Amino acid sequence: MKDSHHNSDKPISDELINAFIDHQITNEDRLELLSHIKQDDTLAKRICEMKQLKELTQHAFADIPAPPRNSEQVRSAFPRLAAAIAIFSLGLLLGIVGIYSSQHSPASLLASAAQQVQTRVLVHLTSADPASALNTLANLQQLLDEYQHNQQSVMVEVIANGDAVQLLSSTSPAIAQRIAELTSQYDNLSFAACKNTIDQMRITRGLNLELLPQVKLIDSGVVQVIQRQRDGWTYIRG
Amino acid sequence: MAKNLLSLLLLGLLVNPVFAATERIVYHVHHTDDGSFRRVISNLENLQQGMSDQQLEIKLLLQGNSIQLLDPKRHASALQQRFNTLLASGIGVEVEREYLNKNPQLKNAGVQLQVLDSLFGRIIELQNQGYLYITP
Repeated sequence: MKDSHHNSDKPISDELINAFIDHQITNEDRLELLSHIKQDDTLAKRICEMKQLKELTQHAFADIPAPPRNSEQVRSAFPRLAAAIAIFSLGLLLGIVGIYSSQHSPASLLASAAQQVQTRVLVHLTSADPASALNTLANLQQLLDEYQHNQQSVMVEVIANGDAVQLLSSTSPAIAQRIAELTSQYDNLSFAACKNTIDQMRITRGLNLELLPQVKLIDSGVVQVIQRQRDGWTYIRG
Repeated sequence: MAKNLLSLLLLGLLVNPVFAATERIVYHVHHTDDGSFRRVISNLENLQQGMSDQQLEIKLLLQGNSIQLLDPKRHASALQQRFNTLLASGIGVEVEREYLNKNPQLKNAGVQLQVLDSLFGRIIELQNQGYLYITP
């Protein structure tokens, strides 16, 4: 082999040598480099040393286990999966709340809480039919007895407007007697008559109704009906 | 990603039966005048037609002598047929025990009845369960 003196116009870079070792060199460059190798022992030695170093490096790392497959992908997917589960669960929870709410109106929900202590019932009379009124009073007594028997608390208010105010006056003796009996027996039962209706009857029909002593006067029956329902009272038309 | 999350939220909501939209109604009758039966039938038909996009669960509560509305002999055949159609659609009928005993012929009127000891108590119970209350 000739000595290391070569007559190359340009120096042979390590990059070119590595490309030659990795077979990533053009044929033209390869032939030129081989020509240099034949003329330059130092270059040949240099190439051998670099090739040997590469092979030693590859051999040293040959048994390193491969990293877990898609580990980075799993790590990046976990937050999204957790968010998806949370959102789905939120949807289920909202639906469950919706089911419960649909079965219990807000007023009744509040009333239910209060009903652990007391049930409040509003009975609204609008008709002056005595038979219907007596039947309503009978139902009221059944209700009061039932709650008393079950040791549950209930408050009942009877509100009359329209023609029904006549039932709560001295013009209906049978009704008056029943009201007197019931109010003496049940202190959780009350009666109220609409002042607006009474005034209107006096003006339009010339009726001067004398309310029963157990009946209190309220300004407006319909306003009372609305306010009671807003406050969570159960509403029944009598 | 936002679209996927929104889709999941909607899916969670949709799997719940609340979106089947069942409306529960207690219809309370306590009058027995001649127009009562016609009004009851018209009201119930209007409810079913007007809320046809929802499932309806209707309970017809007959107070006192309004139980006589169940007597087919009291009504014109056309009205009775409409009433039978309503009953066949699943409307439940509930009556007071005292008044059923006063009208024993109605026990065999071909209508399945639930008998109540306290009608007002039943109305309270149903409203507490979320039934909407209506009366003609």
